[in-house]
Amino acid sequence: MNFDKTAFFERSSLLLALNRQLIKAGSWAGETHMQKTVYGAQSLLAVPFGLDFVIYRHGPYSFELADDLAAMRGEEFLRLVPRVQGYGATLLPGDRNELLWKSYAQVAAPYEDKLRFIAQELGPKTVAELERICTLIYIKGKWKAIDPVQKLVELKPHVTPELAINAAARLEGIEQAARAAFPPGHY
Amino acid sequence: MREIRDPVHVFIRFEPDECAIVDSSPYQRLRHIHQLALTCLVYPGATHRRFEHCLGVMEVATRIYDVVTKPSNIRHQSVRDLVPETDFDRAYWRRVVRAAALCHDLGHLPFSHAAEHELLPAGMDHEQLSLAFIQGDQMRAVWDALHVDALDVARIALGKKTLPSVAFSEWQEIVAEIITGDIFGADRIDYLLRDSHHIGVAYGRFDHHRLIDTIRILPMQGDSSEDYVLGIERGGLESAEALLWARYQMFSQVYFHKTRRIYDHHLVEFLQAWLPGGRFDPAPDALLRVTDVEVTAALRHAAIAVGSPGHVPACRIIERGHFREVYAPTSGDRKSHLDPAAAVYEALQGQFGVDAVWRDLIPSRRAAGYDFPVYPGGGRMDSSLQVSPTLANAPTPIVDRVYADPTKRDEIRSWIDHNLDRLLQP
Repeated sequence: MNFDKTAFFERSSLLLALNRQLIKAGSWAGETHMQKTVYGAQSLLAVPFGLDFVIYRHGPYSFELADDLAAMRGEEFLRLVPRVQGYGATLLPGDRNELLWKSYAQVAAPYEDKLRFIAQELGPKTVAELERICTLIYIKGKWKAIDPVQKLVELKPHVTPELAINAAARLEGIEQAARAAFPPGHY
Repeated sequence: MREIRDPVHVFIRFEPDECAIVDSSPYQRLRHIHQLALTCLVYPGATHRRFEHCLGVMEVATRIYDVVTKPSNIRHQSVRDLVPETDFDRAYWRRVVRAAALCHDLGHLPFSHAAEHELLPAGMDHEQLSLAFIQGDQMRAVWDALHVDALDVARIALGKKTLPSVAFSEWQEIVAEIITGDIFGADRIDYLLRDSHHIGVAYGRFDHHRLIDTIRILPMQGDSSEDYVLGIERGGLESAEALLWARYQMFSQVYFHKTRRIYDHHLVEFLQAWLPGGRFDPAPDALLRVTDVEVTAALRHAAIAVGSPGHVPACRIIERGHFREVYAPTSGDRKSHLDPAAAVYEALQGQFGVDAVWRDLIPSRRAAGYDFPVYPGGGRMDSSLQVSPTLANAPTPIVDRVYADPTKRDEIRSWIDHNLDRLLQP
């Protein structure tokens, strides 16, 4: 057996805490919203998901996170429910989420404020907005000397320069709010 | 044009330049790698090899490529902009798709998936080894003759997940999905059809002709984002449901069969004892020298030669003295305990010793359900989860079992019967 289930339960508690916050924030909370908000929490607020991201579907994407979300569904910590209106499906806490929470809530507890912040800032956004904002975060982290707006248009040809500039302004607003909410040393 | 008889696709045809791939030593090695490892000890018909599977993937991938790039099958202007405009470019990518399909499994270790995680350096898997073969010296002349770039072949054969540091265009991501895609990938379509054919089970079959004819490149309409994926026209939905149920059945009843899984474990034990340093040498030249043939000969020898490396696990395989399943959690067990198999496994280790028991654990691996775009015509796009209750409720197979030494099986089962309620108390 080479699957570390304790480490998986610890990651799952963080993901479950984020999922609950997304639902509260009125988010679609599908897989794409989980992917992008995990990326935002990890990159902007140093929440320790420990995941690697690459530019793929709708911007930053973690194949490990996709595996974890699948395993969480298999364990019934999450369940997938088709949306009544709009495209796709929502991830909701599953039938066994309380069993996980009872043993591992303390893992997520120190990060609840940061997860709430990210869920409120990014959760209600559309997939297209998330794609632009999160790809900008990725670009700013990876290519510090490059104009992020120009790089976004290059990486995602369907994003117009106007949309890219607007996304950069929205990201700046989120970063300012994060700096105000969380003192230095929390990044 | 050459042709090969195939039990699944009837004839598989290829160009003379493509023969050079099939004739290469990395490809010929696949004649000696079983598709399903030791599954033939459970299902005797499962003796087919990676060699014919890769030919089948080439056939299926070509059909999908031809369907999705046919101008009359492209319904959206944004997709039209994505597909190469010229016949020359479309022909180039068709050659790349066929070459990539043939090469996607070149790096398989002996007995396929059975052993790769435990027997390779950390972070390495058969896809990384396939990459080494594709970019290696032996294939360079082949790519030159075909006028294709080795990196393009690698991209399409292995996809973004295996090559995270390699840049992919949107077009390359889509073309890679034709082979590696989790839902409509040619690899999965061929192995379900081929494995079920050889094993002799009906539940792996589905109407792949209808399915392939309805596959399209579609925009994922996750509120206005314009990423592209493989989806289907509405007329193929029932075939897609059949494919995904076939997959569930094959995983539940064949790939995750309890006896097949324990043979994999004993094979790993044997290889760790038999191989120098307990691992395969991942260098391509070294891999070319080792196939199922060499491992089977060593396994049979070790089972006879008392005291030879790997004698005990070899006997467990050759003499069918494998561990037996003693516990798998029920849904009731899972309702009362977060990790019931762990509770039982740890208690058994304490009671009977760590060598007497083994736990097999494979988490579910299917993230967003079977969510793909379905095109009903007109300007709309549906999500498969909204138009198919079958797909929305498809179960995800998990493996979580505890096995025991066969000489202690009855004693251990009895102990579990007497102690389970106590072990699973909240």
